[in-house]
Amino acid sequence: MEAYLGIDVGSVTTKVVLIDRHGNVLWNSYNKTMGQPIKAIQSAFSVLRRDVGDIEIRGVGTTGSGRKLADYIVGADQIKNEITAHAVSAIHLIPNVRTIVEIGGQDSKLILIRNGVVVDFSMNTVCAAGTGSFLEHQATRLGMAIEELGNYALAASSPARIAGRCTVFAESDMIHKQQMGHNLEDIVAGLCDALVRNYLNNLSRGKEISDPVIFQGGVAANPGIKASFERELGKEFIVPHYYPIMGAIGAALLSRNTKHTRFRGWSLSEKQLSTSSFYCSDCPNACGVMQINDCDAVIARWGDTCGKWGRREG
Amino acid sequence: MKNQRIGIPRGLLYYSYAESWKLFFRELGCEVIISPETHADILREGIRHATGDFCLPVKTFLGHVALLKDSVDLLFIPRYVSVERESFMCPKMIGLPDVVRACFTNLPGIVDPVFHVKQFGDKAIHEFTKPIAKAISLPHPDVYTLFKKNMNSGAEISGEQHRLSERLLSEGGTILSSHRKMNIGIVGRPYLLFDRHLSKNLFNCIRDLNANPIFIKPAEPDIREAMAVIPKWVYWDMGKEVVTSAHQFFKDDRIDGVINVCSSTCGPDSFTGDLIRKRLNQRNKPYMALSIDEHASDVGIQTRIEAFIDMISKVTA
Repeated sequence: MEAYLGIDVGSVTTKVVLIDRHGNVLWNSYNKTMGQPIKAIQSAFSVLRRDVGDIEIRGVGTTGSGRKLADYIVGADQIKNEITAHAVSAIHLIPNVRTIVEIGGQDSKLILIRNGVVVDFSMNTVCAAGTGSFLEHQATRLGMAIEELGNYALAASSPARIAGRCTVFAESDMIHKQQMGHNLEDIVAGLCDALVRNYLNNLSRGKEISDPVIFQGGVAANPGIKASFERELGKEFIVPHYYPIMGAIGAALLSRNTKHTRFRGWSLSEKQLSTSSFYCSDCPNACGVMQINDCDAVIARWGDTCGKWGRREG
Repeated sequence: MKNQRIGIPRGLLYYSYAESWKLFFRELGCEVIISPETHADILREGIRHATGDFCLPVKTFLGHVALLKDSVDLLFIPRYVSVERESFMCPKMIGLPDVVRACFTNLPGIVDPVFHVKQFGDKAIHEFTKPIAKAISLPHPDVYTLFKKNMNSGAEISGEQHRLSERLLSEGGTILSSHRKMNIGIVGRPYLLFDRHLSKNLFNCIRDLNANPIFIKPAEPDIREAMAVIPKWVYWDMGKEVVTSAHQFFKDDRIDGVINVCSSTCGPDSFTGDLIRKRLNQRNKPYMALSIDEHASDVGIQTRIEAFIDMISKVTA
């Protein structure tokens, strides 16, 4: 069997998908990165090989903030930023899409599509307010699983008004509302409203959100956030079946035009790889240089500005 | 009192006037000491000393002051209020010497002459050179004449900036490349664009993606032309140049897209950014604002630039 591999190494989760020539998803996995992207890729690979058996990989695409790291480990044909990857998969699955709202673990994006091509996009800058990590943190604080958060929000009768300018203050405000005696459902719904307002303030100023709107990324699992968006904008937010792995699907789709894949095979995924880092002291920039080691041999280095240690980084 | 060591922090207006300042002080017989190019330590020091929530370039400037202050007799931190009529520098620039004094103890002497064009240039030069003459104990008429000579020689268009642009834009920054497949116009304030540490090697990053970054320094007639068509008169001294280069990119069909590099808390940039966006939208020319502060990660910048170039190339699967 021939297939294409897509790997999306995000800040919070690592997604691996296998697609066929036509873009059908044959296999996928979604796991926490746990700050150990290499391990996350390796464990996904071992499950994949057990599940799928003998396959011939014709192309590999990597995306997400760990896309270069993933390339060093598996050998990629396409190393794509996650904005392009998300757009490609959304357009492939829903050809008439005009707006993509994507919220992941620490990043949120807004991508505008017209006639099947990206015409504009924005991405959160320094503030990760309203992304998955924060929601998860709040769920934990309120003693519920992240999966339950949305249902609490849907059960609210009168959402509390919570400041959403900054999550640090949003948290203080939530605690304040709890002390005042608001019930959990109203607080969670208020939180969803605040995060949606924050997203719109940060990303959609001067941009037209028009139908059809596709909502993807891990946070699309949360019906409370979806409902808040729909209330705020008066538009339907369509959550595609593969919402959490759209980036990985996009990367795999992009690798379909590969003639000769750079895929290194599965062997590297079984090796004992470790990462280490050091600060270069050759100039006052003191860049943190990362390296991947295979036993004692260094197989890749990056992170230096001047290119002395690794490939030149932009 | 000759041979004084005059320290000029390499930040903010240094990137616009350095050449004429250096020449001027050397001709006055001073030793000119300039801080090195920004690096991580300088920025860290600047952030440590900042007493307010200043923009990144001001914080960086403070870092340069920290590095220079103990090895010079005088710090030259001019107060540029306005360099042409009906225009103003931003408040931080106008208050720069005060900002520095508020953020440091035990500073050397600060020479902070005011440059303010109220009516005619010569009066402004007269006022500007008076405190300098006093600080280095030279007759004011001599200092005045010398500064005026330098100004008229066109040196205020900083040679440093030209050298930097040439170094950064191997084609001199104005020649549109034919061997690369895409030309990206870059607009922004010189002190952000040409400080390679702050602009995160943006030019190289674009080149590595096989596109050609273009920077132009608009000439006077270009500025007049742009101001005539832009719906709002831009009264920020540097904002005018930013808007003008964007307008030139708007007119030029060989430019495939424009990136506006701005500091994330810059007031004037938030006005000019919107003017530029609306202008470019009239022609559906791809536009991206890249806002930078100390939290901006290299990866985040890289991701945006890659996505912007993919968008222009209309990448599909």
